[in-house]
Amino acid sequence: MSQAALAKAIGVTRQTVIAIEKGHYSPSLESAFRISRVFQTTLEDVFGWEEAIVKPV
Amino acid sequence: MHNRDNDKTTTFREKMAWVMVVGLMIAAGLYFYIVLNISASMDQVPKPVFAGLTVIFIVILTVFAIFGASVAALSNIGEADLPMDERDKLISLRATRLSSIATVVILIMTMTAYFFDARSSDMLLGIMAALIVGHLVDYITQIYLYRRGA
Repeated sequence: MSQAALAKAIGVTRQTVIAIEKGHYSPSLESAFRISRVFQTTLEDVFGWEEAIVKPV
Repeated sequence: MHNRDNDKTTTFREKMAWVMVVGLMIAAGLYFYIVLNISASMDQVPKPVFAGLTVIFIVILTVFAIFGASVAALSNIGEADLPMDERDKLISLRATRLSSIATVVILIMTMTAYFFDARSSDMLLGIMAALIVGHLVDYITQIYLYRRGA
């Protein structure tokens, strides 16, 4: 699937898709769900998130 | 994604921001150059001169915006009439926040100048500067955020 096709499917510009791919922009929850539905998979399969290590005070 | 398009990331809105920065710099540079020269040689800048220069400023900026929008739309076909997406809105919001701070700071400086017997033409110049700098900060912040991603 092309960036332009994905952009059209989720209602953003192609440049926004590029920014998401590069990890420069975190999409809204709504767009994240739309992306995962386009690929017919779950959010966790498309996006990853690592919790920051918080040192105990 | 399998079929990767080229990574050309300049959006229509970013191109418009570039156009407006260049347009504002040229129009404002011309405006302040003429006004400050007149202001140095005369006690007060005549109101018709101010009005005339402001009209010229607006005309230059409008011509720039129309020409720039046409060129940007031609290079990003199909994008010009799209509504803002979520990233555009976020960038616009952040840019507006910074630009409003710049505008208010210059306005407060101009208002303070009133208490130091600033001429009325200087006050008008300060207000114009606040508006122009505010817009410049807005467009430059937009460009920065578009370049960075958001």
